[in-house]
Amino acid sequence: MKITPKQYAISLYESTKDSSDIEMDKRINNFVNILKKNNDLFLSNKIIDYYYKYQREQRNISKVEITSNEKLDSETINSIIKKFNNQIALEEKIDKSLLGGIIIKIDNNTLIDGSIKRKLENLRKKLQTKV
Amino acid sequence: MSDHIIETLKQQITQTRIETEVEKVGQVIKIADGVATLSGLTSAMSGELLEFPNGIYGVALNLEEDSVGAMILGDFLKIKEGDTVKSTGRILEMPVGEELIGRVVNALGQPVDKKGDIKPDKFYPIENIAPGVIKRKSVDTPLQTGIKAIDSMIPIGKGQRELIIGDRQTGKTALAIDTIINQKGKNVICIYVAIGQKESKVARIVAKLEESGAMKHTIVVLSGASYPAPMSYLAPYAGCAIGEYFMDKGQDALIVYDDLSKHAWAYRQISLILRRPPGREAYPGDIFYLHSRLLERAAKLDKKYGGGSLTALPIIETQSGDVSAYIPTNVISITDGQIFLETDLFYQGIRPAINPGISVSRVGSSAQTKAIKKVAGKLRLELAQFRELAAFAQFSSDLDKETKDRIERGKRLTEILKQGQYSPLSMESQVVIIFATINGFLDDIEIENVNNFETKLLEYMEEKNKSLLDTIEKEADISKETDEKLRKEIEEFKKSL
Repeated sequence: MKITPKQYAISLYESTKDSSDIEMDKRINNFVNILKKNNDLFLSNKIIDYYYKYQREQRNISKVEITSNEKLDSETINSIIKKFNNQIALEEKIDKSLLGGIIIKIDNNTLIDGSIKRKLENLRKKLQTKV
Repeated sequence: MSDHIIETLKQQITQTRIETEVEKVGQVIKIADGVATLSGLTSAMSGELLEFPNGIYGVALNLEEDSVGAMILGDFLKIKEGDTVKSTGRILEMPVGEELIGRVVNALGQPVDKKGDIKPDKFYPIENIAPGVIKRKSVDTPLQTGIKAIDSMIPIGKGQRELIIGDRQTGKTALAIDTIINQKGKNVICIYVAIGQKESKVARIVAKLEESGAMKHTIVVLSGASYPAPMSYLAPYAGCAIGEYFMDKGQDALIVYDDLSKHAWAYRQISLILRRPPGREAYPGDIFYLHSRLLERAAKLDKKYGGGSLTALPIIETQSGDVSAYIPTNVISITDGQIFLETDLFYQGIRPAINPGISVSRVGSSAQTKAIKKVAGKLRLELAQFRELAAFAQFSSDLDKETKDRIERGKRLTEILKQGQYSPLSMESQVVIIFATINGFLDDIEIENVNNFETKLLEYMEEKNKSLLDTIEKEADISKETDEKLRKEIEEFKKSL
């Protein structure tokens, strides 16, 4: 039977979640050997993606990506973090083309776009349709 | 003037509210040949409209465990891996309205004829459930195609689905175009859907329709051969949505799908790229449903629901006469009859090259007018007998008189069923000429002169006996009185020759 990257990732997480650091190294070593034996080493990138995703799910952590025009001060960031109930893994990005405002992306599937760029885009659309 | 523009703009800008909303998004993992694989979009619906960057739209088709397969409507070369895709929560809709009449649009309802924007009255979903049993009524009014061979032997009723099938270059499109031309002044909105057709061919058709004044009641939905496959896949559904708009308004509509073989090819391409398992002839498993759900949307509505109708004329191109291939058999079984066009007949000069032996209309006969019915019954029988005897036609000298007469009559019948392109005939003219032939008035006319006789007879009737034609049209029947009058008039005309 073919093992999917998702199944690999889950089994890796489950078998390593409460082991010590030394134990961890050993188990990961074993895991890589299994991959080698099954000729599935080429899946390693996908397995890593799924591993992180599964880990976040299990530990109830959301991945939050904040993109802004320039670096935000810690106060603003803290006030954003406070809005979330669960733990978050924060990632900050800077994109000059936003002109202003921020974009918050949660778990790669929810987007709150409050950038000036987007607002101008929406205004353009509305003005075009009204005429 | 410029002050006014600035003022209105100012007003619009201050009045428009732009709010920040929470959106569901995904990323492009893979993009190839007009089909994208997306991650995220966990709450996407099947058939949902997705928004790619640069104003390109797509439709979610495959919802898998951790990816979404979507087809892209538009220029897929502008989309890159990693692009953000937004779900819109809407399904694909077609702008419909009166303004579409006389226009050429693509499968998304955007005009492609450079005649300016189209303001739609409404939006209709591209995929719609066909009217149910309660809403329907059986086919009872004829849709005159203006082609003698069809109106007499393979009648089409409003709300019927009649397949036109044949090899390439047998006049399938010509038949459909003639039908559209004949709807002039009959209050039937015609929709011509070109699927994967050469754009030169479509341009020619549009020019011809304009020339004959038929573009005033016609809408062309174009998906050319160079358009991406998703557009060809959508075109018939888009055309159907336009047809449904007019049907719901209580009007009669006629839709021509030219042709569904290419539609099946487009869907096969999308399905294979989406990695759906291939079946017979590499078509996906739901290829039957693809066509059945489309053709089922043709209907005749009950009076209570407006009494509108949508008649469908799908076209299928066969390869060297093979009607037992996958797509032809599927569509034959879905439709209410078929018109077979044959290469052999076409080259024998019998045009339209209809084979009356295997062409049928399963529901149309109940919609035929009595006048045509009276003459057509005999016509069918005589033609069938002729076909049986046709093999002996070469030894005509050794045959008894009765057989010889039958063959001669048959030859004349075949001759009068020939008809030039772009020259549809009215019902009453058809009745007159068929009446004359089956009653033996043409038996003493040379085969070569039959055509000439027909034109002259119709001219004569038009000039001298308009009232008689009008009576046939009004009564839609041949009463005893009309029968006698017709005989007398034809006799008279023959004397004047």
